[in-house]
Formats: sequence, structure tokens, C-alpha cells
Amino acid sequence: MGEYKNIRKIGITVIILSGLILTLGVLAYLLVFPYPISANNVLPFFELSRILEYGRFFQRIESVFLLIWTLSGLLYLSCGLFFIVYIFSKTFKLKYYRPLIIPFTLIMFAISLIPESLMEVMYIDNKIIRSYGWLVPFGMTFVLLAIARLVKRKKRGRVKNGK
Amino acid sequence: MGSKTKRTLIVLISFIMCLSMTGCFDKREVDDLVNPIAIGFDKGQGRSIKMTLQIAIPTKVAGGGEGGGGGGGKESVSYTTVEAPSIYSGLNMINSYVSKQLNMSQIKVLVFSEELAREGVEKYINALMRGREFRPNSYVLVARGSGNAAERYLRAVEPELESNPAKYYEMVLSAYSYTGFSANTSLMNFYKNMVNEASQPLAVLADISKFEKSDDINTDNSTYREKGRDLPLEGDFKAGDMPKVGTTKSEIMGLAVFNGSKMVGEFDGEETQLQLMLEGDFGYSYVTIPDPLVEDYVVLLNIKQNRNPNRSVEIVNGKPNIKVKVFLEADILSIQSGINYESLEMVNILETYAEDFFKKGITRMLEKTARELKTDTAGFGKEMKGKFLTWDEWIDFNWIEKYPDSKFEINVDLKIRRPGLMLRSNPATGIEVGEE
Repeated sequence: MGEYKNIRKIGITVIILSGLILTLGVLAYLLVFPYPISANNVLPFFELSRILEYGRFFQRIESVFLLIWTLSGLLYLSCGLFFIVYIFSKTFKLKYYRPLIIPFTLIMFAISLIPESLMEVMYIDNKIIRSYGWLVPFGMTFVLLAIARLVKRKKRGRVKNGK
Repeated sequence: MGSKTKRTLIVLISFIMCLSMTGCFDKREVDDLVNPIAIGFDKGQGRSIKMTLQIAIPTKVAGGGEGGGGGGGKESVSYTTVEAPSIYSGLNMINSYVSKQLNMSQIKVLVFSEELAREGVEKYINALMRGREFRPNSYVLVARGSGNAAERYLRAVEPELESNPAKYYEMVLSAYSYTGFSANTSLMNFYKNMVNEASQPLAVLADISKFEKSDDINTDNSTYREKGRDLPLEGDFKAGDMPKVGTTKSEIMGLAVFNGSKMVGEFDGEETQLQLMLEGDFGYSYVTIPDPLVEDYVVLLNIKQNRNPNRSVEIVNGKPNIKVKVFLEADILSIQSGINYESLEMVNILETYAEDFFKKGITRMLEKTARELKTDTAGFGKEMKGKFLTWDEWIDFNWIEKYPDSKFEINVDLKIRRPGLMLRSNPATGIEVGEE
């Protein structure tokens, strides 16, 4: 299934699958922590994994979960960096993207130190990025489409007039 | 850069990274930590609290185990009490004179004194929930009595069968699955119920035995008279009042009922069992009921709850009408009167009588929570919550104010499944030696 021509199918399957897993995760969390408390946790899934206890032997399992989550967080950061660098190189028609990795890492590291506390980071993430983040993929693509159409019409117009 | 130089550089960089990024800078050796297993909170002067820490001494615990564990319980813990404005300032003070650093992640039990519980424990529970080291699975207890009840209780805990007192706490507090005399009052559950508008928190009652010798044992503090009984049954006691004498002085029986974060009343052992039945958490336990046909005799049943109860709440004329049907199964353990209740003709009499016994008990307990204590301990608000579409409607409804006016309709369905190892009891034969 991993070929380019199946990209539509892959995309839809991945979106449905990840949506389902996230929904089940949030459902499990809400079933354990009812509404007013569920909104107060800084690390919801960590709290959920702290409660796991099977008899007297299987306790404090959250350490295993934390390790796996840290590794997947590392993967997420690496993928994010790759996308940024790749898009940048394609935007400016650069032949190679590898030299951009270290500068971008430093820039992102510096930007990440700007918010002064965890609460500010959460505010930026929840209120700003999640409320207005859709503007870039949805808004900008439409703007680019409109500009491309205008440019095409102008070109066609010039060709017709030229003839 | 040649490929050989590149390779050497990469190896060198990875080597340095492996050494420097392991996070060993702030490591804490297990041997450099001291692990308290229980904390007691008592009221101090003014607004301070008195914290008592019961600290496990690992070398003594291990040594006691090897030596057979006899009397090992007492020496494997040490105690320290400090008066401080808050929990963390107290821990700071203790860190200054204890040689090792305190690590709170092994706390199994949090004991509040009755005096402190009646004033309100919200600020301490919030601090304990916010802290990373405190486990949400630790049990919340309330030590009965006036003064420094929590310190008195912790100092009296001397486990006999275990050299490891942490194991003692874990086992004694999870015994509710086969006694029904306590409940799963973990910090997590306490906090959830405290801030929940659909149910109220409970804490396990703990106390020290009153009696030193078996001749002193009496049932003066039993609750059987309030229930209109002639003799006390095994659940008609609270912690500290049990008619018992033994090396283990600590007693765990009953629940402290809270309204929000303030303690307002107590449940004895029987009411605790009924509370567990209403929530569907009752495992199995021996229950004594009076004999249906013969006065002064009792019948012992092993009661199990195999199904969750059916609960429903309706609003009738602005007042909640709560209906509960509890499903129980029983095995006959003992029939003192010798009447053949095991037979198919007589078993219905016993079943009906037992159903009536539990129905009266549950009704009495729920009336107490509604009229006297005004707290919804069984969490009927959860059934009510599902009837509202939006959160604001539920908050405006104000279930906590409406619960004290509730009417209760209780039904109990009890089936006797097994008669033990005997199908019929034969009476003893002998000549009656009477007056001639």
C-alpha cells in the first residue's frame, strides 16, 4: 500500500485510524476523570498511567509508558524538523536540504526559549495555535490557488492578445 | 573532510553525547533516600499542622524477615513528628535533621485526625494531589478521637504477621473485598468525590483498641441499640470500639462521611457494607442475621454481590425519588437453631427474611445520609447527571441541595445458592438433665 498512486487511500486510512485511536484515548481519560478535574491536569495521560495497578505486583507502570512516550516525542520532533526543512528547500528551490538542518535546529531551540513558563506555552498552544492554526493549511492554500488562477488568466490573456 | 576523519569525528561526538546526555547529574541513589510509608496530620497551634512520619528502616525490615519476622514489626519503623505551617515546609524541616533525603513516593497511608477532618481537609488534599511524588493510590484514613489522634494511631501500628509495615497497610486496607468493613478510599477517589457535585468523599475510620484485657471487653459503644436490636452483630461497631484484645492494636472499621471537605459523620461496619453494596463494590463477606423463626438465635450467611445494583433517580414534585435494586447471593454457613432452612420449602423464609433485613438496613442508612448527614455518599447524582444535556443546566439544578429531600425505594433480591457441606442439620441427642 506504500506506493504514491495509493496516496489518497493511505491518507484517508491514516486519518481515520489516528482519529479513532485519539478518540478512544480521550474517552478512556474522561471515563476516569470527570469533567471539572479532567481540565485541570497538566499531563492527562501521565495521570492516567499513574493509576494503573494490578494487584500488588504491577504498580508504578507509568515509567514504562513515559519511556515510550519520550521516544515517540523524539520521533515527532524529528519528523517536524524534516518537514520544515524540506518545505523551506522546496519553496526557495534549493537543491539540497541537509545543510539547513543545523541552522533550523538552532533557530527552533532559540524560539522555544521565548515563552517564560509552562503556563505561557500551554496558553500559546491551546488558545493561539489551535484556534488560528487552521489559517495556514486551509487559508493559505486557497490564497495561493486564487493567485495561481489569476496568473494563469493573465498569461492566457497575454498569449491571446499577443496573437 | 576525508571520510576517515569524518568517521572518527562522528564516533567521538556520539561518545561525548552518550556520556553527557544521560541525565546523571541529578541522580539520587536509592540508598541515599529515606522512604516514609505513612503520614499523619494533626491540628497544631494556630494554623499550623503537626505531621507525623512513619519511616521504614530497610535494613531492619530485611533483617526481621530473615530472623523469622517475630516481633519484627515494631523495630522496622521509626517515627518523627514536626509542627509546620504546611506539608512541604514540614518536609523541609524534617530533611534538615534526617540524614537521608525524604522520598514521598512510598507513602501508602494518609491519616487525618478527626479534629482536622471536621475543620476541612481541602487545602491538604489539593497539595497532595498536586505533588509529583505522592501516589494517587494511597489510602485516606481518619483517626478517631480528640487531640493528636493521627500521631497516636500511627505510633500504635505494630504489624505482627509482617516485618514490612508497608505490606501490612496494603493488605489490611484492601481487606474490604472480603470483609466489607472499609472501602477503597484512595486519594484519587477522595479528591474526585470532593470536587464532584454528584457524590461525596469517604475516608476509612482508624483507631486504637480501647481494651487491654479480655475481662474489660464490653459493647457500650456499639451502635446496635440505635438500630433497635437486642444484640450487637459484627458490623455494629466503629474503629476503636470493637470488642477485641490483641497484640495488633490498630483497628480499621467504618467510614468517615464528608460533606465537601469537612467530616460530618461516621458509618459503622454494617453501614459500610451497605454502602459498598449500593456502589457495586461489595466482594463477599460473612453476615449474621437474626433467625427468622427462633428468637435469640442467628443464621450466618456468606453474602456475595455478583451483579451491580439497578439504580434510578426520578424527580417527582421537585424531590428526588431514588429506586435501588440490590442483587445478592448467599451461602448458608451456620444455622444455630437447627431449623432445616436448607430445604426447598424453608429456604424462601430465610431468603425473604434476609432480603427484608438488608432492605431495612439500606433504607436506614440512606435516610441517615439524607436527613442527618445531608451528603450523597452513594453517588446517586451520577444517575441524575445523565439526564441533563448541558453542563450549565446540571450546575443550576444543584443536586447537592436537593438530595436531603429524597425518598428511597429499596428492593433486595437475595438467592441462597449453597448450603455449605451439610444438607440438613440433625439435633444433638441426649437426656435433658432438668429438675426432678
